[in-house]
Amino acid sequence: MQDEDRIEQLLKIAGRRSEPDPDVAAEIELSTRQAWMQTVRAEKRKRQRKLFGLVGAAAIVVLAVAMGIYPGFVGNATPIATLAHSSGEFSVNRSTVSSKDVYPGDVIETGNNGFLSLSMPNQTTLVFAENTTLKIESATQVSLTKGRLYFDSLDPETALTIHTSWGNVVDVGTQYELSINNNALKVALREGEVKLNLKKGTHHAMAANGFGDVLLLNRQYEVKRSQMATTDIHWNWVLNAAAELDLNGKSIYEVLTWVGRMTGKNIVYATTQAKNSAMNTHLSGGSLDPKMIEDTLPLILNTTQLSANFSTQRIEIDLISAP
Amino acid sequence: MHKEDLALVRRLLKGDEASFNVFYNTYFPRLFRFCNVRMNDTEACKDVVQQSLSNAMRALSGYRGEASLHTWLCQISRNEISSWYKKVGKKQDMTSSLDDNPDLLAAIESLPLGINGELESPHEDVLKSLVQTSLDMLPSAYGTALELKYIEGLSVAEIAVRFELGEVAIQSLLARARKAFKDVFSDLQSEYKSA
Repeated sequence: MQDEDRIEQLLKIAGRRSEPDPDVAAEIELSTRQAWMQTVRAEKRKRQRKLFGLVGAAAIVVLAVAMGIYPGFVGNATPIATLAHSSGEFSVNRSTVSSKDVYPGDVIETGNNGFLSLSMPNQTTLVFAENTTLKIESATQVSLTKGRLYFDSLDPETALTIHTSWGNVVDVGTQYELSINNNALKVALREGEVKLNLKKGTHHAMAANGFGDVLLLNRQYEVKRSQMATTDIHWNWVLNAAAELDLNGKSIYEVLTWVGRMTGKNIVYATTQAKNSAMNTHLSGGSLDPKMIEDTLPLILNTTQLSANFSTQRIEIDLISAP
Repeated sequence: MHKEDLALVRRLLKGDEASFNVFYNTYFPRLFRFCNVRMNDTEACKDVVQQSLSNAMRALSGYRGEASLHTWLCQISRNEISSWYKKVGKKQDMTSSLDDNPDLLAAIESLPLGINGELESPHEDVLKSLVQTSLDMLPSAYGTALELKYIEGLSVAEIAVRFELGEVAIQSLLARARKAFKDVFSDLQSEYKSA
């Protein structure tokens, strides 16, 4: 018997799902709506307090500058990104108050052997390859002048636009690499979808079923399209440049989600119990180096009830069976 | 990461009315069925669902998308159900909850048929619960499309009209819905078998 026939048989036996009494639904909707409205109002107050706080902080800095208390720092009061990790040569075009803070207007450049990872707002990470120059315009706009950049965002709502001399690239909560040189622009997708807005039309690139689109654009704006596996060794440079994950307080589930994004492998939970265990087990202290995931993850899991089985395309997580 | 659920919660936190309607129409019936099967007391079930949804609304900003919204709401309801059992002085494991009743668990192990044909003898009530729970765990459009197609017997063209989509899109939706149903149903079977 085919799957479809079996599903039809099962559904016919089960019948339609029962709907709650409409009066009960209306009564509960009213109380739920009231609780929701209270939360919305509380959130609004929280946002306003935050905004007033920022305005207040900006006012204090302006006042301090005007009074000559803070002569080395003009404008750009609020850092919008943090240097999470670096190796080799890199430079920022200005002297900032804290060497790890990045402000609008900063130009970051990596040298011949320089790699760098930048934490942006909205759970977004930018990883720089060597010989890359990027200007931070704002929390949602950056300009890539040369080199190669890896973008990773968990936020489906806030898009970051990367401007280039060809046009701009806009993400929709995704992972991709963007590289440019004098002759070509390349976008390689690892997850999700990006929109490439060029002077001559718009192109979309997507990733699905373990493969991502690669768009190669020349100066004549001709686009060549190909595909690359999300686990291709091409992506290994990101592991070398990315920051370590601070494990303190994180659940195994959060750690595994990060591992999945770093390696491009599917995290598969063998059972619901294994997934629940991952969600409910939290770590204390330590960090995970992206370069050492396959060596370190089993050691971390040894301290839990879970085990990991690595294969080319996926990492299967299961509960350790009792002896 | 459950991006769509997280996006819905963020819109809710911003006070978006349409999102509230989507949230309530999607999750209230599911939560009601979830509690009803665990409590066997319609009036108490109503109170528990009401309290669960109010608690969920107050805790919305803490939802981080690690579990699906449905799973998150069920967890809140489980806590409420537990409190109710304590309050009325009943032992939860003496109820007809699907999770806890050994007879039902045994019955599940002898269900009439499974997607993969691994089940053997019939027990309609349990099977019905398992199928309906599976449908509740799917994205809303999947469950509805499967019901319209296989229970109400609507054609793809008729479902397309209901969903205001093209027939090709509905065929694709049904294919994804069948795959998702098969996965969830098999998971549920395994869970109950191993419980």
